[in-house]
This record gives sequence, structure tokens and C-alpha cells, in this order.
Amino acid sequence: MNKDSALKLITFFGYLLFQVLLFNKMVLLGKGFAFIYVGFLLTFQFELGIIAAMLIGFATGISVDIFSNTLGVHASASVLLMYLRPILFKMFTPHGGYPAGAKPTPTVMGFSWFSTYSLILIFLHHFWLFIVEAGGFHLFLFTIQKIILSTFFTFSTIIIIQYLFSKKAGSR
Amino acid sequence: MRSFLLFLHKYRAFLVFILLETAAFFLVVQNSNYNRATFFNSTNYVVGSLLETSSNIENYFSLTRTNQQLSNENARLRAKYLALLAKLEENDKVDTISNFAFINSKIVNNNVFLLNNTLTINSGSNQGLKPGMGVIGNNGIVGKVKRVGTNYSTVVSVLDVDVKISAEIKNKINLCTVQWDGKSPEYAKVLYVPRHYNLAVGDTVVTSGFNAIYPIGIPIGIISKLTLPEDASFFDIQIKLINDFTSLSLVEVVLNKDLPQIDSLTQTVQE
Repeated sequence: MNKDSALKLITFFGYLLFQVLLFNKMVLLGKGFAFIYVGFLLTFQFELGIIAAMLIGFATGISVDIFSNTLGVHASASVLLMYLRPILFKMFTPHGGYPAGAKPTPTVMGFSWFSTYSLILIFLHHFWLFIVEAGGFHLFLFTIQKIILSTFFTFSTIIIIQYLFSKKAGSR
Repeated sequence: MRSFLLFLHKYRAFLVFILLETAAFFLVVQNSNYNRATFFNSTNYVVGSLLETSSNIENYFSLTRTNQQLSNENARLRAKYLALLAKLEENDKVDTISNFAFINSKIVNNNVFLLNNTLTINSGSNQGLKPGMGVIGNNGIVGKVKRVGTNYSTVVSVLDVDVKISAEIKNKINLCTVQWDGKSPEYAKVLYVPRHYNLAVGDTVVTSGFNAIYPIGIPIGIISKLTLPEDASFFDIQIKLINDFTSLSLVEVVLNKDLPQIDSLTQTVQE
């Protein structure tokens, strides 16, 4: 195992532990959740193959599911997120393309690029997640409040984590 | 054949996507069944002990509150005990023997803000738990055992939109249904109470005798809002749940000694 994937594995366990032991218990107004593990999925390098990406998404989602007894819910939303990621990359390609080997983080791509990219994906992820959790579109008004509040909560936590832990542009 | 392979290759990402989503939805559906897949949930040893360690640390911060709850419960039970003792002396013949035993457990993980909330408790088949047993907290009912591992079990909370509880309103109605509406962990609804009953805010809702899970008369909640729309045939009743689900830490699992017999009878009837 090379250094990069070892680091990625440690990051994974870090995200997982913080998610299930801390952030699963922090709920804003009974409706706003922070699913910080989405940040782990968002910041994989641009070149990551889509099939590998979806498998990683599935594994990450299942790990979170096992701890919260919601088997399949996070897995399905994470697979969707990983499937849609390359489409957003294509939509938001900057002039001159992406730097080789880079990762979509705010320090590399800039705050405004990252926030557009991540807000869209986080919203779609949460939309899918809460609809699956509710088992359909009944309770829709309540679900949509959950989706919107959680999108902003997750987004702000991910931004804070990104700026706290990225040492210099290009790392992580 | 060749064009089929080309097709597979061209749409491989989409096909893998469909495959993984199908797998995920299969798990979602299976997760709502009882008695299945005991590995991939918090009854798993590794997951359970990790959650337990975390809750052990957390519990230090709520020791005062837990103590307060326990001493309140003690006081209530003592008052009941004295009342029963007085009754016993009046008529020295007692014909009811309790069919219920209780197993103490600690909550290691607790959700309250999902739609299908579960708790994880630190006792399992080693302590004699079986799926379907009732779980009560120090004030009233908490839920029903769903999956049993060797040392951990998951409990379907009252705070689950798919759970219906057979209930009665003390001294007034002897059969109604309690169900959670998914919104606030403090309140639930009482369904199917016809409009001719004379109810009041403050009436107590308790478990009915028409179930084998909970003993009769375990408190569920207190009526907090009561409306009777002009054109409705049922009351719209909101109850304040008697347990504070956000601060629960100790529970008891109800062991009904008659349960095997009741179950086998029900099965015979159904067949």
C-alpha cells in the first residue's frame, strides 16, 4: 500500500469516528444533520475512475449505516453522489482544465468553485437520503425542511474541516 | 453479440450505478424486517462496544440527572409498594402472580431525530433477550426489541412512524392506538378515538391489556392537546410522551413468562 492510500484510509476512519460518535448526536432544531463523511467523498482526486468511486461511496455509506442502524440509506445516497461527481466536474471545468493529480478542495480550486460544486452535490445527496429514509414523498414539507437545513449544516462543517486540516495548497 | 458487449462497455458506469443502488435498496427493505441480517447493525460486537465506550464517557456528564430520575422512580415505587402492602393486609388471599420479569440494560446508542428511530442496549441473547420483547424506561414504555446479538440488541423506539401501540386512556377508553407522527421526539398521537367520548387535557394514556409485549398499565404519555374538528369522526389527540427520549440512559427489558404460550396459541389460530 502506498503512502497516499494509507493516508486516505486513516482519513476514512477519522471521518467515520467523528461522524458516528460526535456528529450523529448533533442535530440542529431536530432537523439539521451534519453528514461530514460527505466531505471525504467530495475531495477524492479528479482522476478517480467512476466505478472505483461508486464502490468507495457504497463502502463509506454502509459503514455509516451500520452505526446508525439505517442499513442502505447512506449507501444509496453516497453511490448517487459518486455517480454525479464527474458530471459536475465536466460542467465546471475551469480554463485550461484541471491540474494533474489535484483534488477538488477549496484550497486548490478556490472557495467559490468548491462551494458551488459541493453545495449542489450535498443538496442532491441529502435530497436522496431523506426521501429514501421517509420511504417516499409523504411528509414532504417536513422532509424538505430537513434537507435544506442539513445541506447548510453539512456544507459549513465540511468547509471548516477543509480549512482546518489542509496544510498547504495541493496537499490532502 | 459484439454490439451487446460494446453496449455494456459504453454504459458500464450507469450499469454499476444501477447495480449498487439495487443492492442498497435491497438492504433498506431487508432492514425493516425482523430477525434478519444480525451482522450489519449495532448488535455487532465491534460496533456495539465502540458505541458503548462512547456512551460510557457521555454518561459521566449526565450522572446527576440519571440519579435524580432513579430516586424519583424509587419514591414512586415505594408509595405504590406501601399501598399494595396495605391492600394485602385487608384480604390475605392474593390470586394474581406476576408473569413478568425485568432485565436491566444500559442504552449505548440512541436516535431520536430519524423517522425510524432505534436504540442499542447492552444486553443480548446471553442475558435471555428475544426479538419482540417490550422495553420500558424509568417512566414508561420505550420500545420493542428488534434484533438480538450475543451482548447487544437493537430496540425499535416508540419514535418510529411505523410502530403502533395498543393503548388505553385511563378510566375512560379501554382500547385505542398510539402512533408517532415523525415530528418532535416529545409528542405522539392517539388514533381512532370516536367523538362521543368525554376526554380532557391531562388524561393519562397507558398500555392496554390487549398485547403480550408490555404489562398492562405502563404509562405512555399525557394528553397535551385535544381537538375535535366539526366534520371528523375521530378526535385529534396529541400526547406528551412520558419518557424524555433524548435523556434516557437506563431501561428494563420485559420478560413475559406467558409469551411462548401466547405466541404458539396465536400461531395455531392463524394456521
